[in-house]
Amino acid sequence: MKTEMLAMILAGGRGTRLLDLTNKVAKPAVYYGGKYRIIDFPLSNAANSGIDIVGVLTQYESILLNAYVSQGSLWGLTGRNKGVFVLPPREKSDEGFGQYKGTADAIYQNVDFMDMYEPEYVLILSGDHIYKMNYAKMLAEHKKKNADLTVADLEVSWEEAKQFGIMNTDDEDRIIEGEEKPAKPKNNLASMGIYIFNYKTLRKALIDDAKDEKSAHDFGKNIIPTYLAKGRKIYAYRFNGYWKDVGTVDSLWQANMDLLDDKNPLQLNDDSWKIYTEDVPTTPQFIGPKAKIKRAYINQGCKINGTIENSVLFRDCEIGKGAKVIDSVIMPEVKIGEGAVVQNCIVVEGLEIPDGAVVGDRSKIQLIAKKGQVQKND
Amino acid sequence: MIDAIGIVNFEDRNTRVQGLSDYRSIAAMSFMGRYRIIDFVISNMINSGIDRIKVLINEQPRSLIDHLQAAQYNINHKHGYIDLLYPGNKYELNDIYFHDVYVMKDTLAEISGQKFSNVVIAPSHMICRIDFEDVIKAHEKSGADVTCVYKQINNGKKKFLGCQRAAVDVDGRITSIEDNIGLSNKMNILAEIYVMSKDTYIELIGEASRISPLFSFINILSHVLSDIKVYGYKFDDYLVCVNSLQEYYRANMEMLDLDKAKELFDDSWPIYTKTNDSPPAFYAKSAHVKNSMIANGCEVYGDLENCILGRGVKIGQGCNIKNSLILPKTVIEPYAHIENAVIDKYAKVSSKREIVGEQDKLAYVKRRDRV
Repeated sequence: MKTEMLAMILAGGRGTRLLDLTNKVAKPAVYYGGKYRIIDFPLSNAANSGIDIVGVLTQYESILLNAYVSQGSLWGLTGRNKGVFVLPPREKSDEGFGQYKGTADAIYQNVDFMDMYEPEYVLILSGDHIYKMNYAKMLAEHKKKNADLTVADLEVSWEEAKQFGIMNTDDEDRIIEGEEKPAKPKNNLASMGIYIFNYKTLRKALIDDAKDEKSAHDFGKNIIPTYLAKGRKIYAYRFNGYWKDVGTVDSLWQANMDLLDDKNPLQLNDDSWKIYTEDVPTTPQFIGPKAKIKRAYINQGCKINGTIENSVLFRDCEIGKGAKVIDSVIMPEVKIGEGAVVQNCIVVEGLEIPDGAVVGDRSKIQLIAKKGQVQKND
Repeated sequence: MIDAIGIVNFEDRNTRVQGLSDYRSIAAMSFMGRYRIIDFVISNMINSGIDRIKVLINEQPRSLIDHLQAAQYNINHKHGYIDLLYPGNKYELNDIYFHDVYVMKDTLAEISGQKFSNVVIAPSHMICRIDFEDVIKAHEKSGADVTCVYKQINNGKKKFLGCQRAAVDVDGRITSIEDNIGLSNKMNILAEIYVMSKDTYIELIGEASRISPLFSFINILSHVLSDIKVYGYKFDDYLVCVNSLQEYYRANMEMLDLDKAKELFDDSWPIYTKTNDSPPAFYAKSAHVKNSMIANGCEVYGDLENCILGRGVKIGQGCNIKNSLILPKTVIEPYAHIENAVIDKYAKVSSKREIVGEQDKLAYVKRRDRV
């Protein structure tokens, strides 16, 4: 079975700085935006871009993620010659059990999977970024420039540039140098970790890299420098939309808050580029007679009898009478008791906050992941 | 899985929801902003363990077919199915010959070769939560030929008008069936749910066609009451029949009372429907919302009280909307004033427009209308 471009989503990372949110689930499965898991974004983008075959490479705490992404129909990735394939590390007949040792190694270990589809191009994606992007347009640019590799890049502020992998380009956006977190950036084009490779060249590069004992087997640190050294044609593809790598509790909170802006650039309500996700059977949301709601993003199944301000609520949350939820992200099936106050918090799935409890304060964003945390603040 | 197939029946041709029925069957009408009315009977069947379901399709089939082909009913299509039955030659017929038996006849050849014991017939214009397995067990235990689910009501002069009322004797046998024309309050109303063996089903449908091409299922059942054993199964829970605009509105609005809603919904009995992949509802800083049900994909900038909003409805800033049912994808522009109204799908209400009905005389805005 032949496919022009297949997508490989790197979804094995833990996201340590998300603390308890990634205790038992990998970062791509973390909830976002009242309804979604982060990996819904690359999967929906791939489906909307007309990509038929998507491999998802999982490793860290992958039980939930594997079960989730194997439901290809959620994103419309089923049908003739289509599918989502979960690719965890496996025991191989010739090499034994192979843990994924880096981004490039993870793709290398699945060369046999990619070979089955005889692709001309391979799209490498990260499973933990929030953005909307048409990969078909990126492929068109890649072909037009006759590139060996195209890297999607985002213009960031010069200050932010110090925290990213920065691509230094010539006048025609050909990448001439890459720098990882430069102290004095020469450019402000940050790599988004989205790559289109010509498969044949990539395949060979991966095999060579796997043999190199000194390599960290990483795209940014090893594969791209090797490409540059060999004089291969690498072009930047400039992306202008909303893009977030929610690496920390603060940035996850902020990305949720961004949705409360009327003009939020992600436009999740745009029917022409839907972000698909799992739909759990539940009732419509109910706003009670005494409820007050200002600037909120609320999902189905919620029952609101208190006050909600500047907050994002996931499915099936119950907010008691007189309770206040301010500047917070409340994940599915959370119960907030009567008169309780929750401020500046991310509250994890299924937690119960008792009547009258006061959780969080103005000073900082808090992740509320355990019952004990609630009582301490009581 | 239980040893029965389900047949989802449609309303008779005299049962209409004024305005809405011009565009779709009652089965396909929006309920609580999220569901279609047919989701309840199909979810009842699936939750009862029936995964072989035949849906009879009547007039204006587009909306219903569109919904059924995409709804996520979790049917295992290797073992189960949802068949849509629509007679191809309907248009050669005068309307009076187009009734449930006419469509059921098409099922006979296929059904006679299939392995199952019982048939459950249930309507798509009534809403309740019922475990058909309990009805089947009672049916098998009683030795009845046909078991009819009924509910004792105390408001027959106002509700369930045009539905069937049954006389039930002390042994539970149904002795007569007639139309409820509102002569008394206390009566037994048929929930139009019938359980019978496969053989009885085949015999009854065959018999109906032999007697008269006008005979519907309820006609043949009334006709054979003295010849076969037709027993009642008393049902005491929530039951509503959507048979007028007023009842459609009332059934929806009643769900704003969460105690009532609990009679239909609990975690062990999910109601399946189609997902539209809409994002959560967005409430702007200018919104004031009280006692309302809001579906996903809505954007609310104005004021709502006692309202139900379907998916993807937009309410402009400064709108004042009370006691109204706003169907999916409707746009209400800023400063409109709407009370006691049903606004049909895709309608657009212009800025500052007033649409004010009364509780017993609702205002209705047609599908795709721009007012």
